[in-house]
Amino acid sequence: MPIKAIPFYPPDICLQPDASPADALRLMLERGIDHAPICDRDGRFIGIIGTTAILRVLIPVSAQAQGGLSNLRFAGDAVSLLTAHLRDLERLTVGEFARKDLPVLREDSPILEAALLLTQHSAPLPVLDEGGRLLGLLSRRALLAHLVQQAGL
Amino acid sequence: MHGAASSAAEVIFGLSPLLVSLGVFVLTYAVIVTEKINRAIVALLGAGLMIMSGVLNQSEAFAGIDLNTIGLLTGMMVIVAITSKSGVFQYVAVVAAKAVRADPWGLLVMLAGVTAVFSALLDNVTSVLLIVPVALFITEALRLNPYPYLFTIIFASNIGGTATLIGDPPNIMIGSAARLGFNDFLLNLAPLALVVFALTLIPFYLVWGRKLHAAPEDRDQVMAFDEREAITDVRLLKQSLTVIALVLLGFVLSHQVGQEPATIAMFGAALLLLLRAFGKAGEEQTHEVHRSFAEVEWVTIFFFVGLFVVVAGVEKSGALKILAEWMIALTGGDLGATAMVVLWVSAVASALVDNIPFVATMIPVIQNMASTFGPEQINALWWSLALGACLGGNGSLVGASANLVVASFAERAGQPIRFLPFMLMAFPLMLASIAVSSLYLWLRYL
Repeated sequence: MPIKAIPFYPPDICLQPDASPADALRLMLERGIDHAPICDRDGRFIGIIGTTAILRVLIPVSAQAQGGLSNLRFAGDAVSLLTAHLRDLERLTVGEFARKDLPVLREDSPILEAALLLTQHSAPLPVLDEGGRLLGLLSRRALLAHLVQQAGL
Repeated sequence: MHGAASSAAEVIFGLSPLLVSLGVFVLTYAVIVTEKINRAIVALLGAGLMIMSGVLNQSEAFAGIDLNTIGLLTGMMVIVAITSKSGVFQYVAVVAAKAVRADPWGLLVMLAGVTAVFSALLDNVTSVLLIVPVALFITEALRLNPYPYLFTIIFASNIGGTATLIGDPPNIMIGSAARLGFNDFLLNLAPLALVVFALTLIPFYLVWGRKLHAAPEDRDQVMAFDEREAITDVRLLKQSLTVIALVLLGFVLSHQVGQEPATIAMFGAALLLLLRAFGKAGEEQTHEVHRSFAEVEWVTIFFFVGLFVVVAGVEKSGALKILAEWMIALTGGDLGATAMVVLWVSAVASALVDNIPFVATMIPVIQNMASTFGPEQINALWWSLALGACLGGNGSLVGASANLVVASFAERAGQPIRFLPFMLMAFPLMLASIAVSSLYLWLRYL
Protein backbone atom coordinates (compact mmCIF):
# COMPACT_ATOMS: atom_id res chain seq x y z
CA MET A 1 0.00 0.00 0.00
CA PRO A 2 1.39 3.45 -0.89
CA ILE A 3 1.58 6.27 1.65
CA LYS A 4 -1.17 8.14 -0.25
CA ALA A 5 -3.57 6.31 2.05
CA ILE A 6 -2.21 8.18 5.08
CA PRO A 7 -3.31 11.74 5.74
CA PHE A 8 -0.04 13.69 5.97
CA TYR A 9 -0.16 17.26 7.11
CA PRO A 10 -0.53 19.57 4.17
CA PRO A 11 1.79 22.47 3.39
CA ASP A 12 -0.44 25.27 4.59
CA ILE A 13 2.67 26.50 6.33
CA CYS A 14 5.73 26.73 4.16
CA LEU A 15 8.45 29.18 5.16
CA GLN A 16 10.35 31.24 2.63
CA PRO A 17 14.12 30.71 2.86
CA ASP A 18 14.70 34.37 3.79
CA ALA A 19 12.33 34.21 6.78
CA SER A 20 14.06 34.54 10.15
CA PRO A 21 14.47 31.58 12.52
CA ALA A 22 12.77 33.73 15.14
CA ASP A 23 9.60 33.75 12.99
CA ALA A 24 9.92 30.01 12.42
CA LEU A 25 10.25 29.45 16.16
CA ARG A 26 7.18 31.57 16.95
CA LEU A 27 5.18 29.58 14.38
CA MET A 28 6.32 26.23 15.75
CA LEU A 29 5.60 27.26 19.35
CA GLU A 30 2.09 28.49 18.39
CA ARG A 31 1.23 25.26 16.62
CA GLY A 32 3.00 22.91 18.99
CA ILE A 33 5.12 21.37 16.23
CA ASP A 34 8.87 20.68 16.09
CA HIS A 35 9.46 20.95 12.35
CA ALA A 36 8.38 23.30 9.57
CA PRO A 37 9.03 22.96 5.83
CA ILE A 38 10.85 25.59 3.75
CA CYS A 39 9.78 26.17 0.12
CA ASP A 40 10.67 28.62 -2.63
CA ARG A 41 8.06 31.02 -4.09
CA ASP A 42 6.76 28.34 -6.48
CA GLY A 43 6.12 25.91 -3.62
CA ARG A 44 9.13 23.73 -4.47
CA PHE A 45 10.56 22.05 -1.40
CA ILE A 46 13.97 23.26 -0.10
CA GLY A 47 14.36 21.68 3.32
CA ILE A 48 13.06 21.40 6.87
CA ILE A 49 13.84 23.54 9.91
CA GLY A 50 13.48 22.01 13.36
CA THR A 51 13.60 23.15 16.97
CA THR A 52 16.84 21.21 17.49
CA ALA A 53 18.63 23.37 14.93
CA ILE A 54 17.32 26.52 16.63
CA LEU A 55 18.37 25.33 20.09
CA ARG A 56 21.81 24.56 18.71
CA VAL A 57 22.32 28.27 17.86
CA LEU A 58 21.79 29.18 21.49
CA ILE A 59 24.39 26.77 22.86
CA PRO A 60 27.93 28.24 23.08
CA VAL A 61 29.90 27.53 19.89
CA SER A 62 32.61 25.78 21.88
CA ALA A 63 30.13 23.04 22.70
CA GLN A 64 28.10 22.76 19.50
CA ALA A 65 31.02 22.62 17.06
CA GLN A 66 32.21 19.15 16.10
CA GLY A 67 34.84 18.00 18.59
CA GLY A 68 33.60 20.56 21.13
CA LEU A 69 32.76 20.16 24.81
CA SER A 70 30.50 17.19 25.39
CA ASN A 71 29.64 18.07 28.96
CA LEU A 72 28.65 21.49 30.32
CA ARG A 73 27.66 20.47 33.84
CA PHE A 74 30.68 22.30 35.24
CA ALA A 75 29.33 25.65 33.99
CA GLY A 76 26.47 25.39 36.46
CA ASP A 77 23.38 27.54 36.00
CA ALA A 78 24.78 29.90 33.37
CA VAL A 79 21.48 30.42 31.53
CA SER A 80 22.72 33.79 30.31
CA LEU A 81 25.07 31.89 27.99
CA LEU A 82 21.96 30.52 26.25
CA THR A 83 19.87 33.69 26.15
CA ALA A 84 22.85 35.74 24.90
CA HIS A 85 22.29 34.25 21.45
CA LEU A 86 18.50 34.63 21.22
CA ARG A 87 19.00 37.87 19.29
CA ASP A 88 21.14 36.04 16.73
CA LEU A 89 17.93 34.34 15.57
CA GLU A 90 16.73 37.65 14.12
CA ARG A 91 19.88 38.12 12.03
CA LEU A 92 19.89 34.66 10.43
CA THR A 93 17.60 33.12 7.80
CA VAL A 94 15.81 29.79 7.91
CA GLY A 95 17.54 28.95 4.62
CA GLU A 96 20.81 28.60 6.59
CA PHE A 97 19.12 26.07 8.89
CA ALA A 98 17.35 23.98 6.25
CA ARG A 99 18.00 20.28 6.63
CA LYS A 100 18.51 19.12 3.07
CA ASP A 101 19.79 15.63 3.83
CA LEU A 102 16.37 14.04 4.40
CA PRO A 103 15.12 11.36 2.01
CA VAL A 104 12.15 12.43 -0.07
CA LEU A 105 8.92 10.43 -0.43
CA ARG A 106 6.45 10.29 -3.34
CA GLU A 107 2.74 9.68 -2.96
CA ASP A 108 3.24 6.18 -4.33
CA SER A 109 6.14 5.32 -1.95
CA PRO A 110 5.32 2.08 -0.09
CA ILE A 111 4.36 2.42 3.57
CA LEU A 112 6.94 -0.19 4.64
CA GLU A 113 9.78 1.81 3.08
CA ALA A 114 8.45 5.06 4.61
CA ALA A 115 8.32 3.38 8.03
CA LEU A 116 11.95 2.29 7.74
CA LEU A 117 13.11 5.77 6.66
CA LEU A 118 11.22 7.37 9.54
CA THR A 119 13.13 5.25 12.05
CA GLN A 120 16.41 6.39 10.50
CA HIS A 121 15.77 10.15 10.60
CA SER A 122 14.74 12.41 13.45
CA ALA A 123 12.31 14.53 11.42
CA PRO A 124 9.07 14.03 9.50
CA LEU A 125 9.76 13.28 5.84
CA PRO A 126 8.68 15.49 2.93
CA VAL A 127 6.24 14.08 0.37
CA LEU A 128 6.77 15.73 -3.03
CA ASP A 129 4.99 15.63 -6.39
CA GLU A 130 6.76 15.10 -9.74
CA GLY A 131 7.63 18.81 -9.97
CA GLY A 132 9.32 18.84 -6.55
CA ARG A 133 6.41 20.72 -4.96
CA LEU A 134 5.63 19.89 -1.35
CA LEU A 135 2.44 17.85 -0.82
CA GLY A 136 2.94 17.45 2.90
CA LEU A 137 5.08 16.07 5.71
CA LEU A 138 4.71 12.47 6.85
CA SER A 139 5.31 12.09 10.58
CA ARG A 140 5.93 8.98 12.68
CA ARG A 141 2.73 9.79 14.54
CA ALA A 142 0.62 9.90 11.35
CA LEU A 143 2.03 6.61 10.11
CA LEU A 144 1.53 4.86 13.45
CA ALA A 145 -2.02 6.26 13.71
CA HIS A 146 -2.77 4.81 10.27
CA LEU A 147 -1.37 1.39 11.21
CA VAL A 148 -3.35 1.27 14.47
CA GLN A 149 -6.51 2.27 12.66
CA GLN A 150 -5.99 -0.31 9.89
CA ALA A 151 -5.41 -3.06 12.42
CA GLY A 152 -8.53 -2.04 14.29
CA LEU A 153 -6.70 -1.92 17.61
CA MET B 1 78.22 -5.15 -0.90
CA HIS B 2 76.27 -7.84 -2.67
CA GLY B 3 72.76 -6.71 -1.67
CA ALA B 4 73.27 -3.13 -2.75
CA ALA B 5 74.89 -4.11 -6.02
CA SER B 6 72.25 -6.63 -6.99
CA SER B 7 69.27 -4.41 -6.19
CA ALA B 8 70.93 -1.40 -7.82
CA ALA B 9 71.15 -3.39 -11.01
CA GLU B 10 67.41 -4.06 -10.90
CA VAL B 11 66.31 -0.40 -10.91
CA ILE B 12 63.84 0.11 -13.73
CA PHE B 13 64.92 1.24 -17.20
CA GLY B 14 68.54 0.86 -16.09
CA LEU B 15 68.40 4.36 -14.55
CA SER B 16 70.72 5.31 -11.75
CA PRO B 17 69.19 4.50 -8.34
CA LEU B 18 70.34 7.92 -7.14
CA LEU B 19 68.23 9.72 -9.76
CA VAL B 20 65.21 7.43 -9.39
CA SER B 21 65.20 7.72 -5.60
CA LEU B 22 65.60 11.51 -5.78
CA GLY B 23 62.78 11.69 -8.33
CA VAL B 24 60.40 9.70 -6.11
CA PHE B 25 61.51 11.69 -3.04
CA VAL B 26 61.02 15.12 -4.67
CA LEU B 27 57.70 14.09 -6.22
CA THR B 28 56.40 12.72 -2.90
CA TYR B 29 57.41 15.83 -0.95
CA ALA B 30 56.09 18.18 -3.64
CA VAL B 31 52.65 16.54 -3.54
CA ILE B 32 52.67 16.55 0.28
CA VAL B 33 53.39 20.30 0.26
CA THR B 34 50.44 21.06 -2.06
CA GLU B 35 48.10 19.42 0.51
CA LYS B 36 45.76 18.47 -2.35
CA ILE B 37 45.91 14.76 -1.52
CA ASN B 38 45.87 13.31 2.00
CA ARG B 39 49.48 13.06 3.16
CA ALA B 40 49.21 9.42 4.26
CA ILE B 41 48.13 8.37 0.75
CA VAL B 42 51.01 10.32 -0.82
CA ALA B 43 53.63 8.89 1.56
CA LEU B 44 52.43 5.31 1.04
CA LEU B 45 52.41 5.75 -2.75
CA GLY B 46 55.93 7.19 -2.59
CA ALA B 47 57.01 4.22 -0.47
CA GLY B 48 55.46 1.81 -2.96
CA LEU B 49 57.26 3.52 -5.86
CA MET B 50 60.60 3.31 -4.01
CA ILE B 51 60.13 -0.45 -3.77
CA MET B 52 58.59 -1.15 -7.16
CA SER B 53 61.18 0.93 -8.99
CA GLY B 54 63.79 -1.34 -7.42
CA VAL B 55 65.59 1.27 -5.31
CA LEU B 56 64.69 -0.77 -2.21
CA ASN B 57 63.49 -4.33 -1.80
CA GLN B 58 60.70 -5.02 0.65
CA SER B 59 62.92 -6.08 3.53
CA GLU B 60 65.10 -2.99 3.13
CA ALA B 61 61.92 -0.88 3.18
CA PHE B 62 60.74 -2.58 6.37
CA ALA B 63 64.16 -2.03 7.95
CA GLY B 64 63.78 1.69 7.22
CA ILE B 65 60.56 1.94 9.24
CA ASP B 66 61.44 3.11 12.75
CA LEU B 67 59.12 0.93 14.82
CA ASN B 68 60.31 2.64 18.01
CA THR B 69 58.74 5.89 16.77
CA ILE B 70 55.60 4.14 15.53
CA GLY B 71 55.18 2.18 18.77
CA LEU B 72 55.71 5.18 21.02
CA LEU B 73 53.25 7.32 19.05
CA THR B 74 50.58 4.62 18.87
CA GLY B 75 50.91 3.67 22.53
CA MET B 76 50.62 7.27 23.70
CA MET B 77 47.66 7.87 21.37
CA VAL B 78 45.76 4.93 22.89
CA ILE B 79 46.48 6.15 26.43
CA VAL B 80 45.43 9.71 25.64
CA ALA B 81 42.28 8.63 23.78
CA ILE B 82 41.11 6.74 26.86
CA THR B 83 42.19 9.47 29.33
CA SER B 84 40.49 12.29 27.44
CA LYS B 85 37.06 10.72 28.14
CA SER B 86 37.49 11.42 31.85
CA GLY B 87 37.09 15.20 31.54
CA VAL B 88 40.42 15.85 33.28
CA PHE B 89 41.43 18.48 30.73
CA GLN B 90 38.30 20.59 31.32
CA TYR B 91 38.86 20.16 35.04
CA VAL B 92 42.38 21.55 34.86
CA ALA B 93 41.35 24.44 32.59
CA VAL B 94 38.52 25.49 34.91
CA VAL B 95 40.76 25.25 37.99
CA ALA B 96 43.36 27.36 36.16
CA ALA B 97 40.78 30.00 35.23
CA LYS B 98 39.47 30.21 38.78
CA ALA B 99 42.98 30.33 40.27
CA VAL B 100 43.45 33.72 38.60
CA ARG B 101 39.90 34.83 39.52
CA ALA B 102 38.97 34.79 35.82
CA ASP B 103 41.24 37.75 35.13
CA PRO B 104 41.69 37.91 31.32
CA TRP B 105 45.49 38.23 31.27
CA GLY B 106 45.86 35.73 34.10
CA LEU B 107 43.64 33.35 32.14
CA LEU B 108 45.85 33.71 29.08
CA VAL B 109 48.98 32.90 31.07
CA MET B 110 47.30 29.97 32.82
CA LEU B 111 45.92 28.47 29.60
CA ALA B 112 49.36 28.86 28.03
CA GLY B 113 50.95 27.08 30.98
CA VAL B 114 48.40 24.26 31.01
CA THR B 115 48.77 23.78 27.25
CA ALA B 116 52.57 23.78 27.48
CA VAL B 117 52.61 21.18 30.27
CA PHE B 118 50.09 18.90 28.52
CA SER B 119 51.96 19.28 25.22
CA ALA B 120 55.20 18.31 26.93
CA LEU B 121 53.69 15.17 28.45
CA LEU B 122 51.26 14.20 25.66
CA ASP B 123 51.23 14.93 21.98
CA ASN B 124 50.47 18.48 20.89
CA VAL B 125 47.50 17.66 18.72
CA THR B 126 45.66 15.93 21.54
CA SER B 127 46.53 18.68 23.99
CA VAL B 128 45.12 21.47 21.85
CA LEU B 129 42.16 19.34 20.79
CA LEU B 130 41.15 19.15 24.45
CA ILE B 131 42.15 22.65 25.59
CA VAL B 132 40.73 24.77 22.74
CA PRO B 133 37.01 23.97 23.29
CA VAL B 134 37.16 24.77 27.00
CA ALA B 135 39.28 27.89 26.33
CA LEU B 136 36.69 29.11 23.82
CA PHE B 137 33.91 28.38 26.29
CA ILE B 138 35.55 30.42 29.06
CA THR B 139 36.37 33.35 26.75
CA GLU B 140 32.77 33.28 25.52
CA ALA B 141 31.52 33.41 29.11
CA LEU B 142 33.88 36.37 29.73
CA ARG B 143 32.85 37.98 26.42
CA LEU B 144 36.50 38.19 25.32
CA ASN B 145 37.92 38.05 21.82
CA PRO B 146 39.21 34.45 21.67
CA TYR B 147 41.95 35.20 19.10
CA PRO B 148 44.76 36.04 21.58
CA TYR B 149 43.93 32.85 23.49
CA LEU B 150 43.96 30.65 20.39
CA PHE B 151 47.23 32.22 19.24
CA THR B 152 48.77 31.67 22.67
CA ILE B 153 47.62 28.04 22.78
CA ILE B 154 49.34 27.36 19.43
CA PHE B 155 52.61 28.86 20.66
CA ALA B 156 52.43 27.17 24.04
CA SER B 157 51.80 23.75 22.49
CA ASN B 158 54.83 23.97 20.21
CA ILE B 159 57.08 25.36 22.94
CA GLY B 160 55.88 22.78 25.47
CA GLY B 161 56.28 20.01 22.92
CA THR B 162 59.92 20.99 22.43
CA ALA B 163 60.73 20.23 26.05
CA THR B 164 60.47 16.42 26.12
CA LEU B 165 61.12 13.28 24.13
CA ILE B 166 57.38 12.57 23.80
CA GLY B 167 56.25 16.19 23.37
CA ASP B 168 56.52 16.43 19.60
CA PRO B 169 56.94 13.77 16.87
CA PRO B 170 60.31 15.20 15.66
CA ASN B 171 61.71 14.61 19.14
CA ILE B 172 60.41 11.04 19.16
CA MET B 173 62.15 10.39 15.82
CA ILE B 174 65.38 12.10 16.88
CA GLY B 175 65.44 10.34 20.25
CA SER B 176 64.94 6.98 18.60
CA ALA B 177 67.54 7.48 15.87
CA ALA B 178 70.18 9.13 18.07
CA ARG B 179 69.48 6.92 21.10
CA LEU B 180 68.72 9.95 23.26
CA GLY B 181 66.38 9.22 26.15
CA PHE B 182 63.59 11.02 27.99
CA ASN B 183 66.02 12.51 30.52
CA ASP B 184 68.41 13.72 27.80
CA PHE B 185 65.61 15.79 26.29
CA LEU B 186 64.44 16.97 29.69
CA LEU B 187 67.91 18.12 30.74
CA ASN B 188 68.93 19.63 27.42
CA LEU B 189 65.75 21.10 25.94
CA ALA B 190 63.31 21.73 28.82
CA PRO B 191 65.36 24.59 30.39
CA LEU B 192 65.42 26.43 27.07
CA ALA B 193 61.71 25.73 26.45
CA LEU B 194 60.95 27.33 29.82
CA VAL B 195 62.96 30.45 28.93
CA VAL B 196 61.35 30.74 25.48
CA PHE B 197 57.91 30.30 27.05
CA ALA B 198 58.50 33.10 29.55
CA LEU B 199 60.01 35.44 26.94
CA THR B 200 57.11 34.81 24.51
CA LEU B 201 54.62 36.06 27.10
CA ILE B 202 56.21 39.55 26.99
CA PRO B 203 55.09 40.45 23.45
CA PHE B 204 51.72 38.79 24.17
CA TYR B 205 51.27 41.13 27.12
CA LEU B 206 52.28 44.22 25.14
CA VAL B 207 50.05 43.38 22.17
CA TRP B 208 47.00 41.94 23.93
CA GLY B 209 47.40 41.38 27.66
CA ARG B 210 47.21 44.96 28.89
CA LYS B 211 44.09 45.68 26.81
CA LEU B 212 42.04 42.62 27.82
CA HIS B 213 39.10 43.41 30.06
CA ALA B 214 36.16 41.38 31.37
CA ALA B 215 33.05 42.66 33.15
CA PRO B 216 32.84 41.77 36.88
CA GLU B 217 29.51 39.93 36.43
CA ASP B 218 30.98 37.77 33.66
CA ARG B 219 33.99 36.98 35.84
CA ASP B 220 31.59 36.02 38.67
CA GLN B 221 29.87 33.65 36.29
CA VAL B 222 33.17 31.87 35.55
CA MET B 223 34.04 31.82 39.25
CA ALA B 224 30.75 29.96 39.79
CA PHE B 225 31.91 27.12 37.50
CA ASP B 226 32.31 23.86 39.39
CA GLU B 227 35.38 22.02 38.11
CA ARG B 228 34.40 18.81 39.93
CA GLU B 229 31.40 18.52 37.60
CA ALA B 230 33.78 18.36 34.64
CA ILE B 231 34.99 14.92 35.73
CA THR B 232 32.71 12.47 33.97
CA ASP B 233 34.16 9.22 35.30
CA VAL B 234 36.17 9.21 38.53
CA ARG B 235 37.25 5.57 38.19
CA LEU B 236 38.49 6.15 34.64
CA LEU B 237 40.31 9.27 35.85
CA LYS B 238 42.16 7.37 38.58
CA GLN B 239 43.06 4.51 36.26
CA SER B 240 44.37 6.73 33.48
CA LEU B 241 46.32 9.08 35.74
CA THR B 242 47.94 6.07 37.41
CA VAL B 243 48.98 4.60 34.08
CA ILE B 244 50.25 7.96 32.77
CA ALA B 245 52.29 8.41 35.96
CA LEU B 246 53.75 4.90 35.55
CA VAL B 247 54.57 5.51 31.88
CA LEU B 248 56.29 8.81 32.66
CA LEU B 249 58.22 7.13 35.46
CA GLY B 250 59.16 4.41 32.98
CA PHE B 251 60.47 7.05 30.55
CA VAL B 252 62.52 8.74 33.27
CA LEU B 253 63.99 5.40 34.38
CA SER B 254 64.17 3.89 30.88
CA HIS B 255 67.95 3.88 30.98
CA GLN B 256 68.06 2.09 34.35
CA VAL B 257 65.39 -0.48 33.44
CA GLY B 258 66.92 -0.91 30.00
CA GLN B 259 63.69 -0.49 28.05
CA GLU B 260 62.98 1.53 24.92
CA PRO B 261 60.21 4.20 24.96
CA ALA B 262 57.98 2.26 22.54
CA THR B 263 57.92 -0.75 24.87
CA ILE B 264 57.02 1.45 27.83
CA ALA B 265 54.26 3.31 25.96
CA MET B 266 52.76 0.14 24.47
CA PHE B 267 52.89 -1.66 27.80
CA GLY B 268 51.17 1.33 29.42
CA ALA B 269 48.47 1.27 26.73
CA ALA B 270 47.89 -2.46 27.27
CA LEU B 271 47.76 -1.95 31.05
CA LEU B 272 45.16 0.80 30.74
CA LEU B 273 43.09 -1.33 28.34
CA LEU B 274 43.28 -4.17 30.86
CA LEU B 275 42.09 -1.91 33.70
CA ARG B 276 39.18 -0.77 31.52
CA ALA B 277 38.31 -4.38 30.67
CA PHE B 278 37.89 -5.55 34.28
CA GLY B 279 34.36 -6.58 35.14
CA LYS B 280 33.11 -6.32 31.57
CA ALA B 281 31.65 -9.10 29.46
CA GLY B 282 33.59 -10.32 26.42
CA GLU B 283 31.57 -8.44 23.84
CA GLU B 284 31.66 -5.20 25.81
CA GLN B 285 35.44 -5.55 26.20
CA THR B 286 35.87 -5.98 22.46
CA HIS B 287 33.72 -2.93 21.84
CA GLU B 288 35.75 -0.81 24.26
CA VAL B 289 39.12 -1.95 22.88
CA HIS B 290 37.89 -1.40 19.33
CA ARG B 291 36.82 2.15 20.19
CA SER B 292 40.15 2.97 21.83
CA PHE B 293 42.13 1.66 18.86
CA ALA B 294 39.86 3.53 16.45
CA GLU B 295 40.89 6.83 18.04
CA VAL B 296 44.55 6.34 17.17
CA GLU B 297 45.42 8.83 14.44
CA TRP B 298 46.08 6.25 11.77
CA VAL B 299 46.62 8.94 9.13
CA THR B 300 49.67 10.15 11.07
CA ILE B 301 50.93 6.61 11.69
CA PHE B 302 50.69 5.56 8.04
CA PHE B 303 52.21 8.89 7.01
CA PHE B 304 55.23 8.00 9.16
CA VAL B 305 55.45 4.50 7.74
CA GLY B 306 55.41 5.79 4.16
CA LEU B 307 57.91 8.57 4.86
CA PHE B 308 60.36 6.25 6.58
CA VAL B 309 60.43 4.07 3.46
CA VAL B 310 60.81 7.05 1.10
CA VAL B 311 63.68 8.39 3.21
CA ALA B 312 65.24 4.90 3.36
CA GLY B 313 65.27 5.00 -0.46
CA VAL B 314 67.25 8.25 -0.73
CA GLU B 315 69.46 7.12 2.14
CA LYS B 316 70.34 3.83 0.44
CA SER B 317 70.99 5.45 -2.94
CA GLY B 318 73.55 7.72 -1.27
CA ALA B 319 71.70 11.01 -1.90
CA LEU B 320 71.61 11.92 1.79
CA LYS B 321 75.31 11.14 2.19
CA ILE B 322 76.02 13.59 -0.64
CA LEU B 323 73.82 16.20 1.09
CA ALA B 324 75.68 15.68 4.38
CA GLU B 325 79.08 15.99 2.70
CA TRP B 326 77.86 19.09 0.90
CA MET B 327 76.71 20.67 4.17
CA ILE B 328 80.04 19.89 5.85
CA ALA B 329 81.93 21.35 2.91
CA LEU B 330 79.76 24.46 3.13
CA THR B 331 80.50 24.99 6.81
CA GLY B 332 84.13 23.90 6.51
CA GLY B 333 83.47 21.06 8.95
CA ASP B 334 83.00 23.56 11.78
CA LEU B 335 80.60 22.23 14.41
CA GLY B 336 79.24 25.65 15.41
CA ALA B 337 78.53 26.71 11.84
CA THR B 338 76.93 23.34 11.04
CA ALA B 339 74.72 23.54 14.14
CA MET B 340 73.56 27.04 13.18
CA VAL B 341 72.78 25.96 9.62
CA VAL B 342 70.82 22.95 10.91
CA LEU B 343 68.93 25.11 13.44
CA TRP B 344 67.95 27.99 11.16
CA VAL B 345 67.23 25.89 8.07
CA SER B 346 65.11 23.49 10.18
CA ALA B 347 63.21 26.41 11.70
CA VAL B 348 62.34 28.10 8.41
CA ALA B 349 61.58 24.79 6.68
CA SER B 350 59.39 23.59 9.57
CA ALA B 351 57.46 26.84 9.54
CA LEU B 352 56.56 26.40 5.89
CA VAL B 353 56.19 22.64 5.51
CA ASP B 354 55.36 19.75 7.78
CA ASN B 355 58.31 19.23 10.14
CA ILE B 356 57.91 15.43 10.19
CA PRO B 357 59.15 14.74 6.63
CA PHE B 358 61.87 17.34 7.10
CA VAL B 359 63.18 15.69 10.26
CA ALA B 360 62.84 12.22 8.74
CA THR B 361 65.19 13.39 5.97
CA MET B 362 67.61 15.27 8.20
CA ILE B 363 68.17 12.36 10.62
CA PRO B 364 70.20 10.24 8.16
CA VAL B 365 71.94 13.41 6.96
CA ILE B 366 73.19 14.10 10.48
CA GLN B 367 74.01 10.41 11.02
CA ASN B 368 76.21 10.67 7.94
CA MET B 369 78.15 13.48 9.60
CA ALA B 370 79.18 11.18 12.46
CA SER B 371 82.52 10.51 10.79
CA THR B 372 83.35 14.22 10.83
CA PHE B 373 82.13 15.02 14.34
CA GLY B 374 82.58 12.94 17.48
CA PRO B 375 79.63 11.34 19.33
CA GLU B 376 79.55 14.12 21.93
CA GLN B 377 79.70 16.84 19.30
CA ILE B 378 77.00 15.28 17.18
CA ASN B 379 74.52 15.72 20.03
CA ALA B 380 74.74 19.49 19.51
CA LEU B 381 73.43 18.87 15.99
CA TRP B 382 70.57 16.72 17.29
CA TRP B 383 69.52 19.49 19.67
CA SER B 384 69.76 22.02 16.84
CA LEU B 385 67.50 19.86 14.69
CA ALA B 386 65.00 19.31 17.51
CA LEU B 387 64.83 23.01 18.41
CA GLY B 388 64.56 24.16 14.81
CA ALA B 389 61.89 21.61 13.91
CA CYS B 390 59.74 22.03 17.04
CA LEU B 391 59.95 25.81 17.55
CA GLY B 392 59.86 26.41 13.78
CA GLY B 393 56.34 24.97 13.85
CA ASN B 394 55.21 28.29 15.34
CA GLY B 395 56.17 30.21 12.21
CA SER B 396 52.94 29.74 10.30
CA LEU B 397 49.51 28.18 10.52
CA VAL B 398 50.71 25.14 8.55
CA GLY B 399 53.92 24.76 10.56
CA ALA B 400 52.55 22.05 12.86
CA SER B 401 49.54 19.75 12.94
CA ALA B 402 48.45 21.27 16.25
CA ASN B 403 48.23 24.72 14.61
CA LEU B 404 45.88 23.34 11.98
CA VAL B 405 43.79 21.56 14.61
CA VAL B 406 43.34 24.85 16.50
CA ALA B 407 42.55 26.70 13.27
CA SER B 408 40.02 24.15 12.10
CA PHE B 409 38.17 24.09 15.43
CA ALA B 410 38.23 27.90 15.54
CA GLU B 411 36.78 27.94 12.03
CA ARG B 412 33.96 25.54 13.00
CA ALA B 413 33.26 27.72 16.03
CA GLY B 414 32.98 30.82 13.84
CA GLN B 415 36.31 32.35 14.93
CA PRO B 416 38.54 31.72 11.91
CA ILE B 417 42.31 32.32 12.16
CA ARG B 418 43.62 33.77 8.89
CA PHE B 419 46.88 32.52 7.39
CA LEU B 420 48.62 35.86 6.71
CA PRO B 421 47.68 37.84 9.83
CA PHE B 422 48.77 34.85 11.92
CA MET B 423 52.08 34.59 10.10
CA LEU B 424 52.79 38.34 10.33
CA MET B 425 52.98 38.04 14.10
CA ALA B 426 54.01 34.39 14.44
CA PHE B 427 56.96 34.29 12.04
CA PRO B 428 58.96 37.11 13.71
CA LEU B 429 58.19 35.63 17.14
CA MET B 430 59.39 32.23 15.92
CA LEU B 431 62.62 33.77 14.59
CA ALA B 432 63.13 35.44 17.97
CA SER B 433 62.77 32.07 19.72
CA ILE B 434 65.35 30.61 17.30
CA ALA B 435 67.72 33.49 18.08
CA VAL B 436 67.37 32.65 21.78
CA SER B 437 68.01 28.99 20.91
CA SER B 438 71.16 29.95 18.99
CA LEU B 439 72.47 31.74 22.03
CA TYR B 440 71.63 28.74 24.23
CA LEU B 441 73.32 26.26 21.89
CA TRP B 442 76.34 28.49 21.61
CA LEU B 443 76.75 28.88 25.36
CA ARG B 444 76.11 25.26 26.22
CA TYR B 445 77.46 23.09 23.41
CA LEU B 446 79.67 25.02 21.00
